[in-house]
Amino acid sequence: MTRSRKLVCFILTGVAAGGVAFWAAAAGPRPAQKATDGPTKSSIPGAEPNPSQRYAPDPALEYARARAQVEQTIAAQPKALSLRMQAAEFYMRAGDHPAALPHLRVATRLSEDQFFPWLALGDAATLAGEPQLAERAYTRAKKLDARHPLLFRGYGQLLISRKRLAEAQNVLERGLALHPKDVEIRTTLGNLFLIRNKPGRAIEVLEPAVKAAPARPDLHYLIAESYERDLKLERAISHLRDAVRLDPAMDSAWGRLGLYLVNLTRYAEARAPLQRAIELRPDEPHYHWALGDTYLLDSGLQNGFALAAEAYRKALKLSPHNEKALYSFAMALTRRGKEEDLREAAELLERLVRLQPQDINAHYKLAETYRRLSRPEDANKHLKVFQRLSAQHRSKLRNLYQGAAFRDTFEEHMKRGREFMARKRPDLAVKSFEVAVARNGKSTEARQALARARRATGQQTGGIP
Amino acid sequence: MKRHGIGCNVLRLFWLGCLGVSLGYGCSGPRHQAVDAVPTGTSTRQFRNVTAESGLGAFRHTDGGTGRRFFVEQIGSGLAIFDFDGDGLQDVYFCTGTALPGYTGPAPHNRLFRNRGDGTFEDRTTAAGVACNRYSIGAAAGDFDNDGDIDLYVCCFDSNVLYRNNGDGTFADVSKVSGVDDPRLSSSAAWGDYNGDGYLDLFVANYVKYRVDEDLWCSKYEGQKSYCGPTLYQPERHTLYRNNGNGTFTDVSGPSGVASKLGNGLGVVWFDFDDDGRQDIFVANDQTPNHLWWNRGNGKFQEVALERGVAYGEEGNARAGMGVDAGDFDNDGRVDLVVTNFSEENNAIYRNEGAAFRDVAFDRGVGAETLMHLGFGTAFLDYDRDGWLDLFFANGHVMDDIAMYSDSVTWEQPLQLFKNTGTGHFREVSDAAGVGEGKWVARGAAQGDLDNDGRKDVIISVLRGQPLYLRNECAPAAHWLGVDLHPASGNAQAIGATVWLTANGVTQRRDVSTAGSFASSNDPRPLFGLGPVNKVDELKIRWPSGRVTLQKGPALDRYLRIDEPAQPH
Repeated sequence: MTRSRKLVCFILTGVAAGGVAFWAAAAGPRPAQKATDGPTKSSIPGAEPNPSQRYAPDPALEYARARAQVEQTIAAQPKALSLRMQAAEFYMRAGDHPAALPHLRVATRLSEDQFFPWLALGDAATLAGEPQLAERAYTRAKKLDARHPLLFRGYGQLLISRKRLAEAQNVLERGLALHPKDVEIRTTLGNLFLIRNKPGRAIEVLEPAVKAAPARPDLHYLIAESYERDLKLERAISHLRDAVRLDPAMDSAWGRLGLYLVNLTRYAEARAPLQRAIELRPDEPHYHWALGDTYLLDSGLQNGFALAAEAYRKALKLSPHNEKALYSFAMALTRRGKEEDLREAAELLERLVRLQPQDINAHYKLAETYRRLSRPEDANKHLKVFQRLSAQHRSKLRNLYQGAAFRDTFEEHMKRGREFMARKRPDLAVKSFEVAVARNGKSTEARQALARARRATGQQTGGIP
Repeated sequence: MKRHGIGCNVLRLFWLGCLGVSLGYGCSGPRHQAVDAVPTGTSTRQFRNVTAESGLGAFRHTDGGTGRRFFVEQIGSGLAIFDFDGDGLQDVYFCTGTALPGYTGPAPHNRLFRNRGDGTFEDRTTAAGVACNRYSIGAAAGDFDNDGDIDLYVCCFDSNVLYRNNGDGTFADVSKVSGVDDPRLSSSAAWGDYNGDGYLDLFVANYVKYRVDEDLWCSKYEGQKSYCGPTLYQPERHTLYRNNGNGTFTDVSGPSGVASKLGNGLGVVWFDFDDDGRQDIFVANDQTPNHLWWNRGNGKFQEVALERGVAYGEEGNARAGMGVDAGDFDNDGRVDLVVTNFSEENNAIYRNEGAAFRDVAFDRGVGAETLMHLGFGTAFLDYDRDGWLDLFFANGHVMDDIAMYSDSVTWEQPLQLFKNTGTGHFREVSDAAGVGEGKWVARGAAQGDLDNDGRKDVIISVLRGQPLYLRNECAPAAHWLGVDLHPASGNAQAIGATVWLTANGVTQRRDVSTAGSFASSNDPRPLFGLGPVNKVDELKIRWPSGRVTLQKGPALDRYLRIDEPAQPH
């Protein structure tokens, strides 16, 4: 089932990375974190717990009590910088970023010439969705220590949150050139590359970070996603196993582990991680959906349909609009194919096309299902939509592919080499000129261009180490 | 969700029992009568690789490449199993690529191997005059001139070639004079008589519009070229040639309607999906919707793949169709289709449900099992002679640098064999049957009974490598019946005939064809497995002429020669 095997790659907002880096630096070694504390949000929609959920067993009550205690302590010593910083840390760790801002504003007034309060204010404002305040805070911090690694990371994160991605990459790459061993900058940059759909680049910058901080489950999680998007599923799985070993409570890592195993058709093996994810987050519909797929797709099971149906029903109970569960359940029903199954499948698919009118697969299945139900008019209606959408999709895909390909000729490789040189990417120009030389070994022009590019590569600075 | 209820489980267990403790052929099941209580043998490894000892290992395929990764290199080639010298033994013809720009190796050429009848083959290429010396992809064997010996058509990246069999062990290149020297990049061809005039017509599946000097550069990594996919090139129209009956053909692609749709054709079969007695055509297209050309009987074809449910996969995605075969895998009397696809696309089992087809691969145990493989050659064949068509897949990725892109899909891949458990469900038995050993970059695969022992053998063409000859050595106790049809007139192989065999309450159907798989041509003789059933009630034959004959209680365990009566019954 193609659709169920493909993870939808959501654009990461990356809002968390700025905050946690500072708090780690300020508060010393950090404990193993939940994935949601890490630099990425879960790619599974709805997987982000709200702050009040972090304190078991009665999170809301516990949080309210703790908050009251913090505020009481501050009230007793309102001008104690360290207490203000600790209070801010408390709120940041709880994910209640706006609550940290008043304390950090006071902290910056108490110590206007100190770097960290300004940096922390920038981080907190970024996470609280106050970009102008963040910009001002980072500007002040920059005046105090323009080369500090956390400033590159924090400001880069602000730019990411404002979708100024090229600027963010520039800032982070400059930061990394100055601090090649800095894990936080690498983490944020890796995250950015994922946002920009460059998983290969993400892997390049994240591998050293994982080596430097092998005990951080969030890093394993992030690089796992990078590998998955680079189609290196075995390596992704290996990192997710590390993540759940380091933090057995990281439900999103368990969930992804299960999903990746499903992608590799290892359905039986996928069940335990998904069941663990469900234990940790029983209200997450995607885990139930994925578990359902492990039953549906496993030809070795006798009662696969019943188990799958149960899992899909749970997912749809938690989220009636869960598109994956709607589709997978409909597929299961059309495969069994009893008349009542087909009627239910049609209902599910109709719900799906109301949610996603452009869903090609859903229209196709609806046409097929109505045909089997002897409802030719409905079948034809969806078949027409399917044909229209399908033609559009093929055309788009074709254009996409054609945009990425070019004639394999000496002239084209020379042209690309020159373009890379103009874009100050002599490393890539070298590769183009090498191919040009291979295509026409007699060309003096190509050899000279290659030599120039090689020399420029040696002089290249400021790139990612 | 592959199996529902307890019935399949019982059958599955029973089959395991068949293998281990000789309980009998439960899968097709003794029901009423005439069943031998014979042991089924003890061997669990039905196929043995006999390439080296057969002499077929002397052939080695080349893609003609030098590392530049020209688009055409990845396609690979197929082969033909046919009896070129009329001695009753199936011979083998291999296609290969030739030199592409920059290639400096020895000049490769196609090779014909004559079956000596003792398990070995001798090279007769030069004597027969079929070296071809063109970049060859597919082969199709058929007696186009009704002279009783089998001719050969070769699909090329160049003008295609038609070799007329002179009947004396030699062939004559009649490509130009016959008018079938299609200059397009052709992959597979198939012989079938669409207009019922008694002469075999020719359908040629063409791939894309491609020239070496227009080769494209595709890459994810700068400086590292990978093979491009077909969507980067313009799709081609396929070609239908009408046999004029005088040694020439007419391109009727336009008037017949076949030229009205384009596609990246790789696999083709003739089959009669609606049982109206007229041969229809299915084309497996690579990343464009498949075609199902419905023969309307007036020289026209109508493309009905979408309406009939075979244009796309189960979910409505145009997949990378590579190979195809037709056969009635569930013994319901209707001819179904199997289509091989790309990795991360399951191979399709299009079950013919009358009004339309439906991809039931996942439901029947061939979905998840084929997802990680890239299939090319394929065959419906009853390898264990239990009366149910099993499935064979020849796999191998197209990208020789796939390891750079994926750590879970490989260039070389194992072959796969699926046993039909007797209810139209399949269970993979590749390892147990001796098929799953090793990994290959397999392309074409052809089936045939090379030693006339009633067991279908398989030969596989391997990209840049030696072929594989898998001899079927399944337990010999099962009864069988092969049919050697001799029409009163028309093509010597009776292509287009249908044979129904009824035994023990079950009717099996075989359609006589050399087409199927990828770029390959098969031994067309219908072969029926009977398991322990030792009596055939009836053999019904619908001849290419349209006549129907009946044969009662034929003797078993042999190839039965049946001549079409000169006068209609």
